[in-house]
Amino acid sequence: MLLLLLFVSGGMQGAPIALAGIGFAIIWYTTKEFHFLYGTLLATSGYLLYSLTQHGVNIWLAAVIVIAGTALIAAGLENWGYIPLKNPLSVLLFSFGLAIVLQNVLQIIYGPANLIMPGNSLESKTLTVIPGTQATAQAIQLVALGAAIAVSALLAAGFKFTRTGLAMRAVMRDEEVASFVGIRPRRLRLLAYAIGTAIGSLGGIFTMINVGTSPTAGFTTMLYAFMATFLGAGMMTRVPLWGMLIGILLSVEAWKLPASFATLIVFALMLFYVIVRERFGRIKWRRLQASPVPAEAKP
Amino acid sequence: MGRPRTLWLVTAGLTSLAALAACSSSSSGGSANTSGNSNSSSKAPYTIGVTIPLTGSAASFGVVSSGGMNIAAAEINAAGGIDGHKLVLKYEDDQLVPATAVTDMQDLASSNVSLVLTGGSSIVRAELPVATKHNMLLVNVAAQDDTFLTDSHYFTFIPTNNEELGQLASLVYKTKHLSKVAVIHSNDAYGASAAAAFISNYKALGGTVTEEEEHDEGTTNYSTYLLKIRASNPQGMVILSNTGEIGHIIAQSRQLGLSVPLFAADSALSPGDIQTAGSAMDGVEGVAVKFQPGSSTAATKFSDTFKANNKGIAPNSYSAISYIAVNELAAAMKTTGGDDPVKIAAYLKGIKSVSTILGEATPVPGKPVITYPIYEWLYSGGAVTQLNS
Repeated sequence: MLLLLLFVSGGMQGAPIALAGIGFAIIWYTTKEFHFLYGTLLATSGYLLYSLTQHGVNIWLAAVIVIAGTALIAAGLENWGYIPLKNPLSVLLFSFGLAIVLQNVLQIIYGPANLIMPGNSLESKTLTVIPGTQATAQAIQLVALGAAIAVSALLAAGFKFTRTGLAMRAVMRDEEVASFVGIRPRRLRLLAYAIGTAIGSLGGIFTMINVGTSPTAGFTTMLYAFMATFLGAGMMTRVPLWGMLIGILLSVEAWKLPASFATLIVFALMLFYVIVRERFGRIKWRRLQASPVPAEAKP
Repeated sequence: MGRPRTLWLVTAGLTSLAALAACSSSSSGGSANTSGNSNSSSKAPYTIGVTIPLTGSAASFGVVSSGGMNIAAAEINAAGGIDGHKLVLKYEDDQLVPATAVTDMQDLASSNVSLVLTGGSSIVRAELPVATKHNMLLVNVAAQDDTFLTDSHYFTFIPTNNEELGQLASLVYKTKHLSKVAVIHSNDAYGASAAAAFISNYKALGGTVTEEEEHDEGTTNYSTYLLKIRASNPQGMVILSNTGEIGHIIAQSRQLGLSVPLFAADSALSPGDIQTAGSAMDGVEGVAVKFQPGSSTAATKFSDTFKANNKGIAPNSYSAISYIAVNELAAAMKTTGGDDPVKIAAYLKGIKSVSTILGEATPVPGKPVITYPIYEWLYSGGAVTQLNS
């Protein structure tokens, strides 16, 4: 029974990670830029939601404003900040510096401690996830899970059936070649930043409503988002699955081990998987190279 | 070309010398002053160093602590100082970072300050070697770790974990008749020592700890820890974490169906944690050194002065402890005739009993600790009720 409860709890933890991972992956796969500011923007989304609602704005309207606002900020940053730098290392350092500055600004304005949203029904309402068991979740956690599934499905459909989605996939594969066939990479890079940050902000908003946020909270989320992106190995459909799995592993490891070992275990498993994947990939590639080409396949 | 340049250099040099002289004359540092010192028309001031977090994540503690200290110093100076010597508090911001605290101590040592007020287990641990090296007395107003008590350069004005959590163990086992509890605590210096103190006292009474979970500082999602605790079937749960963490633990324990009685120490009563816990805070019990403004005329006056000086912020037990510490140090300096740390330490250890704004302060026999009445409290209906008298 404990294992089941930990599994369900882990799934709830995984939903915000999945959302953050999807957003980070869109940006990374499209632009190959490490957008270090991403995590701090997620935390900023939570703070902005708090400030707007404290000024009487309806929470749903505030969420829409925050998501749109952070998307525009990210696209603007790419257009006027990152693209002119031209060098990926310069982008990384610039982004890192911005993240530190923004963290400190948030700390000055809101204080260093964790800030929570004043009591709301989404956070306080508890629902049974599996009837007949003690597996429960907060309403906001279930909404986040539904959002992660919906966003994943929409993106999968978008990448497959829309022109913009196909163009973005082409840029992800090879930006230079994509430009030869009339695709405008710059526009798609801006779109990637906007969509990626919007999705990440959604996760940041869910986290704010659930447990609150702090100036440094975004760093941990970004770390897991990066992990899910890296493990996705270029395939967008895998990223949310890895995000969910990371959340589940963080919880399930406590079944037989101390809960405080969660991060250690997850990172160790990730390293093991990466090593195995790389080795298996090399073996597979060598076998493909070694196998003879059939006569009818020769030109 | 050369003459204007020479004139510039001479001007710059004279200006620097003048500035250096001005800084030296305005310095508040003092050597080991004795009552015999006189400086033309006034005696040299006595200086007490203070290393507390004035900025950073723990700045709120620094505000309430320094507020109490400043009131004490102002009252002492208004009454003529310590035998005519003005009392000066020399503040150093440690941001609750041990490395910064060490630098602060070295700065104070270089200024010949021999008495230092401080707080925070990790800070005290970092500062004690410096205090030993420079023969300084470290006077604590916040750390509750028992391991420091064996150091001769240490004195504390706050009950240790063993004192406070021993009473919590008694509340849980003897009063509430709970023989099996789970413990959740932060994995920092406070959480580890608090948990060790509670568990040893609880087991000594005959209790059993069904599960002990330690979490990282600053964690906000405790579901994994709480599910494991729930699976161990405790009769109660004791929370020994920091301000900003306890509220989440209380709220999430109820959300996850953990309906057993919850117990905590005074850090659970912070306004932020009460807000975070929401309705789940109802029924939580614990122990605390509690400052009650209406408990005496002196306490009321202190509370009113504190609010007036600090934009309406109300004082808490840390404010009161800091106030008491400065007053007792001043009394020690008056009696011993200076700020010699060895004499001051001996004086403090010899305190029998003294009436304070926290009630009757009494020494713990054989230990450099002053303790106060520890109250058992219950949070119910939005208010804290004292259970014992």
